[in-house]
Amino acid sequence: MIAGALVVPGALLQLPEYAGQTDPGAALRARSAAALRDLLEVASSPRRDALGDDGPDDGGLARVVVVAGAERAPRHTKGAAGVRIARVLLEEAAWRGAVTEITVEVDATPVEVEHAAARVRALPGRAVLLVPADGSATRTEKAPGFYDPRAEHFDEEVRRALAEGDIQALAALDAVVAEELWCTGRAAFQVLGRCFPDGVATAEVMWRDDPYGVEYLLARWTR
Amino acid sequence: MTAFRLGRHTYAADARLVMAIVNRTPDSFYDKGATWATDAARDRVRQVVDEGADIVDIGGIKAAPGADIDAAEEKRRVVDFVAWVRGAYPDLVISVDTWRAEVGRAVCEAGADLLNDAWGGADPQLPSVAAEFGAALVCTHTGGVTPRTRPFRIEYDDVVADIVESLVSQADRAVSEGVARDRILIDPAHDFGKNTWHSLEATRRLGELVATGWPVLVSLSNKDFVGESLDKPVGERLVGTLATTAVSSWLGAQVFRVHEVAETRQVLDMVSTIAGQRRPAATTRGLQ
Repeated sequence: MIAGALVVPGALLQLPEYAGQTDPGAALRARSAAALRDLLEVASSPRRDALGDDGPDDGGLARVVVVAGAERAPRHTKGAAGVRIARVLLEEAAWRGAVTEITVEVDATPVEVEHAAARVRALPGRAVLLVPADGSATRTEKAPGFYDPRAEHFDEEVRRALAEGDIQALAALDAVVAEELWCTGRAAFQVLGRCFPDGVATAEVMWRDDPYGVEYLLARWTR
Repeated sequence: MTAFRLGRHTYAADARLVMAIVNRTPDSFYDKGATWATDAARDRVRQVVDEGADIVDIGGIKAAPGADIDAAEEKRRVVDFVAWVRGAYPDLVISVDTWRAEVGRAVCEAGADLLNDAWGGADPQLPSVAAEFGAALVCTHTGGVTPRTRPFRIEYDDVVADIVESLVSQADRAVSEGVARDRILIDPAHDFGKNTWHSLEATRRLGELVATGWPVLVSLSNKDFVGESLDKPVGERLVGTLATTAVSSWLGAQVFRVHEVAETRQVLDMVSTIAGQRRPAATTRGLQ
């Protein structure tokens, strides 16, 4: 069963290999790693009620499942950015358990989203989801995708859905609009939602910012 | 390094040319509309010629995202201006920075010598226009991004291999469409479809582009990869630009698209002098 989930920024600048003399991604990475460490600790604790787990004691947290967007036709073989970011975060959070990496195309169809979610739901044991995923990248004139006035509303809907555990709202995110807003997290958000078909016990957006015109979120769900 | 032709000129294999940027835009990142007015643009051409520019590169659309500029508006911005430059400076090589074949045709009719396809073949008809008019063509690597978009999380297994493959393919295609083999330049297009690490690697391994046998143009001037390397904002990147110019020149680049002409001319002359391809201006030290 899925015990909880953490949404973290998916920016490549969090990868240490991209750091220069200074490391602009360090703060993002540290914030995400701390939140991950905290969630893993709670989820691994014998006192499961902190996560609302009413299921049988099945021996603690079995795995972390990474759910990340992937390009449909990547031009390189480095692997999906979100998967690589998740590996760094899991290392920083000192996770030594099992990890399952599941990617979903950033422009996935509803069928593809459900296929990915079904793979997650079929995994045995208690699991925590780690979801590197972002909102739009069109929030300012200097944003990667330039300014699009629709970005504010779109990102607010994503933020609200994550804050309220509103899986219907995530499912309803418009794929075309998301693509036009350079949102790389839409499909991953929808997989996340479909991994909690019975809803969530707690939902919280712990932090958000858009320092480069890209909407970053740190959000936590538990059940 | 390779001999090549632009307009009525033939350049030797050791030539190092300055291509001066002349923006016919109200909003380009560096000059922010300084040559938007026709008189100011004409003054800019006079100035860069005086400072030693070999080529002027006239552009009607800023590279960054912004308001849509259709082909009609782009032509309004550049075609008459090209005609004026042609009339005022018959020997000056005129380049136009455009990805549109329709605009390319209009500026060639007005006297342009070179089409700078800065968005890497976004309009596949552009080479055939260059061929039709006997014009030269710059092929650029953008990683396949849409014109006027910024790079966003683009990665390559080997950025230089991608650049070489793309540019050689574009150049071969241009030849097959009738562009003269010695009127084709290749440009790795720093910052276009690239993060700073990519642009630095393209600079470090520029020799691999030179080894293709096509003359290499570089457009480095005041770009973000310089700014991010030195932590300098636009307006404080000249020193970094000139350092990159010297290194690129030493590695074999032959055309340098720049904002600051006089400074670039000095750097290129110094590199040519060190390379033994240009004699010092005057030598009396120790020789009195």
